[in-house]
Amino acid sequence: MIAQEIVNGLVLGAIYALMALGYTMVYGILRLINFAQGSLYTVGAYVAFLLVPATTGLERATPILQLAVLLLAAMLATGVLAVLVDLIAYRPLRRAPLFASLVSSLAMMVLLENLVQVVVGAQPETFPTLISTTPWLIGPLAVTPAQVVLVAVAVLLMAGLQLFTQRTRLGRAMRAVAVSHDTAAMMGIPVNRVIALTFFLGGALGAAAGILVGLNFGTITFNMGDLAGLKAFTAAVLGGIGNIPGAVVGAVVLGLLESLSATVIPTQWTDAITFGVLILVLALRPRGILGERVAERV
Amino acid sequence: MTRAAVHRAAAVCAAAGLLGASAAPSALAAAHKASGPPIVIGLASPLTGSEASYGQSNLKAVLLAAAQVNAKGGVLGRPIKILQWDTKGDPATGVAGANYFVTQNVTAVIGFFNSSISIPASAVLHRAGIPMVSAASTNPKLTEQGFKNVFRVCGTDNFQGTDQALYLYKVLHVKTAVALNDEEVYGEGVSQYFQQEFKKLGGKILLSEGVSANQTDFSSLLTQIKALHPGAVEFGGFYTAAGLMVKQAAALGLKTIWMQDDGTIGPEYTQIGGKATVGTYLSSEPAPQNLASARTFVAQYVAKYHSQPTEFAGYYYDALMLIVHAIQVAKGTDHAAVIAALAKTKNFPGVTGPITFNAQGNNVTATYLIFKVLPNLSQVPVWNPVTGRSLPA
Repeated sequence: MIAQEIVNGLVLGAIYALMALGYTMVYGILRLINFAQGSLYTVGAYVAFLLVPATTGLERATPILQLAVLLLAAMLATGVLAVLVDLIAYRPLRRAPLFASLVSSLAMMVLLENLVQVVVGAQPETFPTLISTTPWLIGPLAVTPAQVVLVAVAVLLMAGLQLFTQRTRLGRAMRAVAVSHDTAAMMGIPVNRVIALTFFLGGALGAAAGILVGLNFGTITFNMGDLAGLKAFTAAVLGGIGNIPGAVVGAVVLGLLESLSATVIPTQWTDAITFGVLILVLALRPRGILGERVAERV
Repeated sequence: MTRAAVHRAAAVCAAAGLLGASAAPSALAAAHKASGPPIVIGLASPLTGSEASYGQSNLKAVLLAAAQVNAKGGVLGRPIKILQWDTKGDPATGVAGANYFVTQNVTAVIGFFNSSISIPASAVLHRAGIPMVSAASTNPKLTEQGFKNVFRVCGTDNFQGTDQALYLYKVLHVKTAVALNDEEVYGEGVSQYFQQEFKKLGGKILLSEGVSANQTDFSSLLTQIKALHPGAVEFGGFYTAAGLMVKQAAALGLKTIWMQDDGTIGPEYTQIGGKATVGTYLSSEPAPQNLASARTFVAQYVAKYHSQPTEFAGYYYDALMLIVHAIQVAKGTDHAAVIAALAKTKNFPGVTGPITFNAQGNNVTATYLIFKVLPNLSQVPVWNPVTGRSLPA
């Protein structure tokens, strides 16, 4: 049973991690908590959902190819949307107090979520089963192919992000802007373009999380980003907000905590545990597990 | 919205409603000389929002009944007019509707669909002494308030939970069960009555737990349940959580008998849960399509609206016919006389079956059926708890 809960926890952790990366990257660069991240996750899932009919031809070749096309298309579209969100809601407020951007991000969250509701309606949509959810039974352990694909895609994307930030010129530019906008600008780094790139990556990763959730659970709703967004934010804070490996560690710890706590505490308390952790971390160790920067009060 | 704005919006709704109600039958009614001032009946239902498909179908059923009454010369020679109010599924908006009906001094009210609206709204109508007939609110509390003006033509949640227990224990010989609910008034109610009856019969509840609203991942909880090896899992709640649960249980290799409530009747549950829902059971009030007595009603509804009535529509049709009957018996629209006539209802021939009110105002003959999901994902009735008989699947 414990082994099964660890599998459940890793699946949850992988989803939280992809979303938490979006929060933490934007925070690292702008000290801004981009609450629209949860809505971007929803948009990503719906873009993929709406593109399913157009890509059914690929399914006959291999469902993995169809999934790859859906992932790329939805990540691209959502990434562009995230850049637009920055352009409309945050860039004009760059020199204003941070609080203004925070309120602006809450507004974008509500706006995007309601736009999704207007376009597709309030009813839950059934995401097609691209990858089988029939379990492989290994002794007492049940693992579905969809879960394996979910974790594999998440790990690939995270590894790609790590390579990008550590090994490429643009990645170095991102890290430089995170240290100081002004110094980076003096070194000839186009700061606004680097910020746009950060939003693009954050939005794309959020979209990937949304699609993987649709793939694994088979259902998407216009408000799916609310709770998931708050949990991923908790994961980012837990790992140390602004710190990329920290977001992944925080997410996996949170996922395992949620599923393993079910063995001793009734599951209706799961959300209370998650947000209890958030409060404890903010009160006792605002730097988080791996954090380098002290989380600011906003 | 300010109070004035609410009233303005209500007036617009009402005007639209009057047009809808009177346009079609007016020619016929004139032929039968239904004249004099109209008798106004209030109808409050969620005409927009997430339950709009129910609300719209309920409205159509009531308009159909009104048109039929008016075509036969109305009641006491006067035409019936339906005054609509859109509750939007929201308690505050719904109670505003009850106040609006009071200011309009309607003869009777059919409403308010959601138990969470019907209960507070019934207090407003009780103070004004206006008769209220509920055709979809199944929470027992509605008729436990001692309000003499409140009647209910549909069943209550305790019938449903009891029937679930009877079927699992007596027919499927299940001795152990896990009871889950979505921590909402409705789901928790059904699950509580299920547990009560199941224990009374001699069954054992291994685990009783709530899940939080909007939860989408139930795998931790289901892993716990799998280790308990329950004979059945009962869930009080709605289709999204129910469908996801059944699907994730299959993914975890949890094999058990599932018993859902009427929040899962309709295509959404099987769409979300997919193949995993095949073989699962649910309790639900019969839809008009399941009832031999409602065949004419379904045919008339389909002929008029070119769509199928939803599950509560038959009760709404009956609610209006019952009020019309009570006005006839009372020989007028005096509220107290209509309430007295309603209270005496016995074996009224409704399309959903005979209607008899007890002292509380509950329809003692309202039934639930146990349904099973077939491999083609259709939900068919398999057992009638009242007769204790299996139905041909």
